[in-house]
Amino acid sequence: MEILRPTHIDFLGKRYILFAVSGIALAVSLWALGNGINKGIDFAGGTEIQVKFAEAPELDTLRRQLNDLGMGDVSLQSIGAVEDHEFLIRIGSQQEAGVAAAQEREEADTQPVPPPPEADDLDDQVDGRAETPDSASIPDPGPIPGVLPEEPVAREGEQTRVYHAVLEVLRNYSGVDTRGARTDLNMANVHEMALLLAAGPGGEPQAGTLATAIAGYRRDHAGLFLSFSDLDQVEGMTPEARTYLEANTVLGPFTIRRVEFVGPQIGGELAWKAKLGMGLALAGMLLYITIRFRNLGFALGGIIALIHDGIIAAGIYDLWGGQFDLILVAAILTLLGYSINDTIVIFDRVRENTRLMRGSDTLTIFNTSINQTLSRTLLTSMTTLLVVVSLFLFGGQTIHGFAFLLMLGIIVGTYSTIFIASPVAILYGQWMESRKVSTRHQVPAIAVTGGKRHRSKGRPAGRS
Amino acid sequence: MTPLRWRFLIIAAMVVAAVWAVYPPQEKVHLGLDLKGGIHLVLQVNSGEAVAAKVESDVETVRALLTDNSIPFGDLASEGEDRIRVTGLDAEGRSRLDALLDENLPVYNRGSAADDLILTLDTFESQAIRRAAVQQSLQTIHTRVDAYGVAGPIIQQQGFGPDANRILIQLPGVEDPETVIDVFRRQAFLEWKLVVYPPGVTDFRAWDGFSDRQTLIDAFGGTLPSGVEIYPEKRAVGLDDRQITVWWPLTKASPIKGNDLKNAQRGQGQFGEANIAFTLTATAGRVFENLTRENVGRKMAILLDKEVLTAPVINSVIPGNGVLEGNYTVESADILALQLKSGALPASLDVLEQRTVGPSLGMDSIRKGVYAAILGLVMVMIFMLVYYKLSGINAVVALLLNLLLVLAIMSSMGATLTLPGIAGFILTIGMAVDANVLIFERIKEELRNGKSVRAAVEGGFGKAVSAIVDSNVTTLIAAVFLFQYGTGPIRGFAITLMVGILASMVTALFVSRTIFMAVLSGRTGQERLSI
Repeated sequence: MEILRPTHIDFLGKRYILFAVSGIALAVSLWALGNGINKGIDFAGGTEIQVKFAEAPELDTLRRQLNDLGMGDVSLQSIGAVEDHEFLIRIGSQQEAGVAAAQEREEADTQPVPPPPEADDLDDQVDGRAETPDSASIPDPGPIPGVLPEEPVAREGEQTRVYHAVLEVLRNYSGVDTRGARTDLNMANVHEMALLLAAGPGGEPQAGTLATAIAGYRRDHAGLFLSFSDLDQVEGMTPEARTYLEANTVLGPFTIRRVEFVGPQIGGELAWKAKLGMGLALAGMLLYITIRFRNLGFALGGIIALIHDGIIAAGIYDLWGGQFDLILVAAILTLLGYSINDTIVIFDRVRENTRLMRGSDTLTIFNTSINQTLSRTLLTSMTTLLVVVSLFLFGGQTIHGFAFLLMLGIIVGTYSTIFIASPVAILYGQWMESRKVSTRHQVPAIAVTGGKRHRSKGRPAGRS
Repeated sequence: MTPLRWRFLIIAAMVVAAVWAVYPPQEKVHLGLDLKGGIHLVLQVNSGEAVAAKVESDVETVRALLTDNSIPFGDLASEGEDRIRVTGLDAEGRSRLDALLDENLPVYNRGSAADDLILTLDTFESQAIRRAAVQQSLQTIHTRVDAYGVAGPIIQQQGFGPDANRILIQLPGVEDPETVIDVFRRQAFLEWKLVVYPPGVTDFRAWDGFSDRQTLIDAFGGTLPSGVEIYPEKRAVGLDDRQITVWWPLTKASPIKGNDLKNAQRGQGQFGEANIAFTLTATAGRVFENLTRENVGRKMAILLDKEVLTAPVINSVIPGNGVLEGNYTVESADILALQLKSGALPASLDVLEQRTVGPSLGMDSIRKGVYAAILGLVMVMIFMLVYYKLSGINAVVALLLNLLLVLAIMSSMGATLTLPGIAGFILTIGMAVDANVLIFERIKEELRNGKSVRAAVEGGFGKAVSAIVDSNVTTLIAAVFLFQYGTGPIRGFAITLMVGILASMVTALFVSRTIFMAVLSGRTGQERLSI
């Protein structure tokens, strides 16, 4: 079976029109990205709590109650299928001042002298007086009783504070008895369940095993018991134990499935590392292609196509409303690695054809090569697209954005392989030739140099 | 044996080794925290506090030197993190002190500001203290995690050079982050400090602190005397256990500290309530005895992590043991005793990053990931079979073997499979057939050019090699950087991708080729190839 008979399409003839198309797409993408991206907590810092309700909650009420916490921007959004009643609560970083201080310290670090001032926040709070800044002159250290924090030392971290505040709202909202008269079977851990069961009819001996079985059943059923009758299906459950549990526990209407907290300091670092990783990956590929093909034009063509793919895929993803987090960086890097494959296959063919088609001009060689590899390019993109679509549809919430970006990337990447990478490589070749012509006053036709250039495989890139 | 037999033998050995490495998968494939559920934590040791504590204790040494040698001075206090300032020294006193410091505190550099003597802790010394603080924190956390009983924890130091003050902790299978984090994050730093009564207070036994900070400072005339600090005590009052905060003026120096603790265990008070019984070391016990003897009738505060637990009146001389009372449950008393026994953390810890995945979400992720993987795999296999007919079988065999190899390599490396890792695994399926597509398309092309089947297969493999190697190496470059700059699950993804790329090269170039060779070996001059 063949989808494509051997083709003879003049892909490169329309290159300027397609450059314009790409230019517009790039401009729109850059505009979208420049307008501010939706940063996930990985980069922005903050807290994310994934909660699953037994029944659909009243979103407006819940949202209002969360906003009343006074913890700044609180977002509540549904994730996954609607019937899952699953929501993501996101709360921005509570340490804006901390961020500023950390940045200041960082800026000071870049200048070797004088040593950076060290504000010891905890001591300030405990001492009840501000520490003297550690500067070269060392001013007089009088205690300053005027500036006192009102509250006692906040020993618990931000993540604990935010988590408990949200938990309190959820409990108040759902009317679950928070004072703990009865254990919430949907929130209790194995240890708590075992303690409770040990006091029940089965007594100590079976308590541990039964608690583990209950927790196991809960794990396998999305973390929630919807009714006490679910308990009957738990392995090792006795009627007495069930009656005991029914009398001594409640089934809370929600469960917390995931809590993530990223401090502002880490967020900044992760963002920096992500950029560094992408930059170095690009540089690494540039270097490898240059060495392997002994041709800077090929390398530039490949890398420009990659940057093109990355920006447009990220731009559309942003317009789609996607969130930028670590997993998305992984997606972009994967895209870079994947997208270059196609380009290399074509360049590999060009390298081969340059030897075979001596006498043809560069444009013809490229066009022929693209046509010869076209079926492979499309087939591979198709198989990869098949699995990525499967990931997008069924892979779950966490890798939804990841799969979507890859879907975009594969499509854009296939396009750019043909319409960006090759023309750029050709343009670079022509530009180098025209420079040679003007500087050396030689008149070698492009047709000949095209062949020559690739015959000179053994020589370093700079001289080709 | 013919080369073909050798090839089959190698493949068979590969399969056996792979199956052995993977089976049974529940034991051999390591799941990441995002799939198994658990806690990922990055803590920062505020190691500067350890330096400050050292300087604080040296202030007392300097004070002793000054008073013991009757050198007149104005004021003496620590400043910043690593400095001590002595004011009001005359020239003679200064030179005598210099001599004493040379002998007793050589780790301080001496300088002057205005007429004051400034002692600055040597940088090497303060860095050594910081490093020691991180090491001690690591050890303490280890002890506490072990004592608490978490299976398969990971506790590592992170960061480089002088900034290596981070600790990564991974606790698989732990459901309840709050309790566990509290277990090892609490500094558990026990201190005893004497109450410094404000001027005008006469009834030392009855005086009970201030409910307001500012009032306290005003009572001292607006400025706290040097060597005095304010500490809070949280109290539950009334029938409804309302929380109030009481403020105490206490000595900055702590004559007795948590390090002086020999043992701590849960005990029982007279009404059966849980408390913690402690014993001091012999030396500290003597200090404690003297201190209580000198201060009978006054109050002494017991502080845990800079918060006052209680401030009882010293009624008589107390030897080196006692009881901590508070609002403890059996469990919280056990935990505190564990913390006290494992030793105090030398500095407080800040949580920089905390990611907790519940077990049910991990289970969902596995289910969905595996489902998507199988679906993607089946679709690709159908596609290959339809498009390449019998040769498609070849590709499918190569693909399945590829997946087996990836799992086997990852298991034997001890690499963890994360959710993004599953995504990488699925992606590998798509990319692994790429090599086959390249080869098959090339074979088709050779056939179209009129080559015999055998020559076309030879040519197809031969000419596709460079493209396959080059494209895979570039993807590998991206994966390496992903690994280098990623964290946790992302690293899992990068590893899966790298292993997948390498395995796909093996299966496409070696296994596929062997199958073709086998198909062609039986018949000479075969006319047609189902491709």
